[in-house]
Amino acid sequence: MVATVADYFGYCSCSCSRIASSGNCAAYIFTVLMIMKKSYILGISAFYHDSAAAVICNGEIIAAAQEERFTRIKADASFPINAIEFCMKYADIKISDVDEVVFYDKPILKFDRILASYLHTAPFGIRSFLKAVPMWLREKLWVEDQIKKDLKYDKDVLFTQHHQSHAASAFYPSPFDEAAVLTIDGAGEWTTTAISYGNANKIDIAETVEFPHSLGLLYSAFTYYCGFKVNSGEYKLMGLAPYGNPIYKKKIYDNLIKVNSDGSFSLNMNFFDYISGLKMINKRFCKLFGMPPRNPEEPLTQFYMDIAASIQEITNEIIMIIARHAKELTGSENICLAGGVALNCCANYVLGKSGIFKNIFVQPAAGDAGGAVGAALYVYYARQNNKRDIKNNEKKMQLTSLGPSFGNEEIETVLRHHNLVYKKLSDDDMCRYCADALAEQKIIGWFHGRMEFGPRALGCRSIIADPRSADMQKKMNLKIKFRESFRPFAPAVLEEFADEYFDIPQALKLVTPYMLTTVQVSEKHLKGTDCANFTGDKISLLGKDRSTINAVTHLDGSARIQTVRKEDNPIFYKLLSVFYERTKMPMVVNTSFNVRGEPIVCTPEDALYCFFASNIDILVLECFLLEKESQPVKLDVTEWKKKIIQD
Amino acid sequence: MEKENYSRLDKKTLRTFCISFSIGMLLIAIFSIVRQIVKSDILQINFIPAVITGIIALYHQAAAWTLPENPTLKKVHFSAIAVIFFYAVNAVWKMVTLIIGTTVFGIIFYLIFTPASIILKLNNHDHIKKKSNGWQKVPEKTNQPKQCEKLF
Repeated sequence: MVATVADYFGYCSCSCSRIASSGNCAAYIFTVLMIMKKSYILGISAFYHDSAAAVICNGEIIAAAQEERFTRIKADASFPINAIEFCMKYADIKISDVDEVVFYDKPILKFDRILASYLHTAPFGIRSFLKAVPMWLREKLWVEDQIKKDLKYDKDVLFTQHHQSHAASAFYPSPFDEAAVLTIDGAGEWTTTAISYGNANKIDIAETVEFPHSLGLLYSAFTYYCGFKVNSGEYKLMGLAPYGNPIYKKKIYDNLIKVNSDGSFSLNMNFFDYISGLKMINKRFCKLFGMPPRNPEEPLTQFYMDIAASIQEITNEIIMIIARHAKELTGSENICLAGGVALNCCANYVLGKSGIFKNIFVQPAAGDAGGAVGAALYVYYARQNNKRDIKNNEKKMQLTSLGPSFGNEEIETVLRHHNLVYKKLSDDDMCRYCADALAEQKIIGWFHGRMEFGPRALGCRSIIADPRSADMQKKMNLKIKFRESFRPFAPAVLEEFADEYFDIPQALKLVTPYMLTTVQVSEKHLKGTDCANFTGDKISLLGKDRSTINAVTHLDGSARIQTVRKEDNPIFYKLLSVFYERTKMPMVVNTSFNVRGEPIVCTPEDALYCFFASNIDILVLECFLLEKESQPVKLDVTEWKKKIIQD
Repeated sequence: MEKENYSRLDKKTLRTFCISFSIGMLLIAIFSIVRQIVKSDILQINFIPAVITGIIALYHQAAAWTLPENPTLKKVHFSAIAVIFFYAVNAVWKMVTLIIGTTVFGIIFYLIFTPASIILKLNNHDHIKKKSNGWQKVPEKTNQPKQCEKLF
């Protein structure tokens, strides 16, 4: 920060002194004014899934938030008016102060793809046509009008390409001066996979794979097949994979996807229905594997676990081949990843371990929400041709704590309104109290600071617990999160102890603070349970003693870690440090502060409802601590529960 | 044969019904128009049914005042019927728009898209089929930042 300010003033004084010495007063004043001018850009993503808004000022992300956190509708795709209002309020600006408003993709190109899809499949696809086209004609094509009307914005709105937004969201905040940028998702306008090259402040997309050939949609098809919801259940498929064996890999390669040696691929559309159908797959797909799609309420059998393992391994392999091609194309030692598939932590680990690239960076909000940030950054750097300052990008984790925070007075007002019993503690006392509670196997809802941007909770809106117990994973899944029992939990570990407990490839050091990669638990911390050759119900293995950190060790000995640094989240770091002093355990279970079907909590009210609706023992709201058993009244959560849509 | 006295059909009662019914309908019409303007999400009410309801309200009001005796507002419970009637009109209107929309888009799909699809496929211009082999090179123009100004 100091270096940045010094540079800034150095630049200012240098420019001013040069002009002042020339005797040109008007130019001097103009230069001073131009240097001091703040350039605000508002980025918006909406209408597909995960609407979001972001405001940047002179290239720095000031605020960003997903609309779902405000509306409490998971993956809300509606116009993010609440997120926009928050971002502008936080930046303390009005719409007249915004220099540019930019939307994260090109609606007409996307509509072109939609129409081409129906032209390809006609006379089939009428049901999907009747659902999609009226919505496009009514709403999605008129994005610019809606932005201008809702925001009272009278200038022209800018439109970046979808994969340009993704690439920008990964490259510009990275600490790399130049890098290969790989973006893979379901589909943007036409592009599903793009290799770009980022250099200084420019990003050039070099090669693409186009719709309908999409790695993201392939993964989503299997997500659907295994009974999970598309666009929200992909990480469940990823979590299921270690329970199975990849015995269907050959079948998938022989029938569903053809991968070339340069990483390009094509899907056999005879097995998929997503071009213009209402489902991802057709009957031929089911016949290929000999089983119907799983009903969400049915129990998971070994067949679906093997399917998950197979598609996960294929995804890993394809990403590796594409990464090699990106390396050949760009010659860079660095790679930035974005797009929904970049949230696949297992694939990121395989890429990190391979050594193809020396340094890897993944945008924490790699999905469509991050497109809002990327679009704004693209306009600032590429279009306005501003210089990048990468010196501090590595040091500060500026990419996640971008949402709203709440002051002590505001929180106390809410607590008093609901007649709740609470204690007000200093930071030190709070950390000590919580560390003792964690050691006693209590579960804590932790609400501190600015809300995270992106799908991961990183110690601002988290539920935390002791990772040592073998029962904790089951307890948290069934009694806290109310979700499927096979789902693993992830640890947040003090950075200085991370290498002791986990084998972290050097290339992934920039990724671990954002919980975007799995790593292997160190051999010395694993115990002898042979999970790979176990023939019984593998889910029952979760209750066995498999490592010194059972609650966060997955069946294959992996963990999706978050390394915590003091400068990124001082209070969370302090909590972990005090817990370490107490128990010699330098990590906690860290899962997002929500129950199944609802977005991560945003406001103290949301946290209270989640607290009372689940079996969380203690709630921490900044400096206030509430214990469940001390409460004389319980919040009525009946209405709140009705709003949650199961995913 | 004695002439039966159907009290509910007498003019006074009829006028009372007309006034209360029309007041109820007017209130609902005004509410839905205002709600449409402020775009609240509490109720999904369309503009046209509000207009229809308003017209019916005005008709009943006019009917009440053209009767010879002076009207009196004794019974207002008929407004409850007005509310039910309004929502029934609204539901019917939604069904009508659904049927019209489905028909129109269905015609577009089968009479325009389907023949176009056949012609394009015969002339080897199927865009989806063309996107099959290997990496597509991106033209220089696509990467120019000026392209941000365009929607395509």
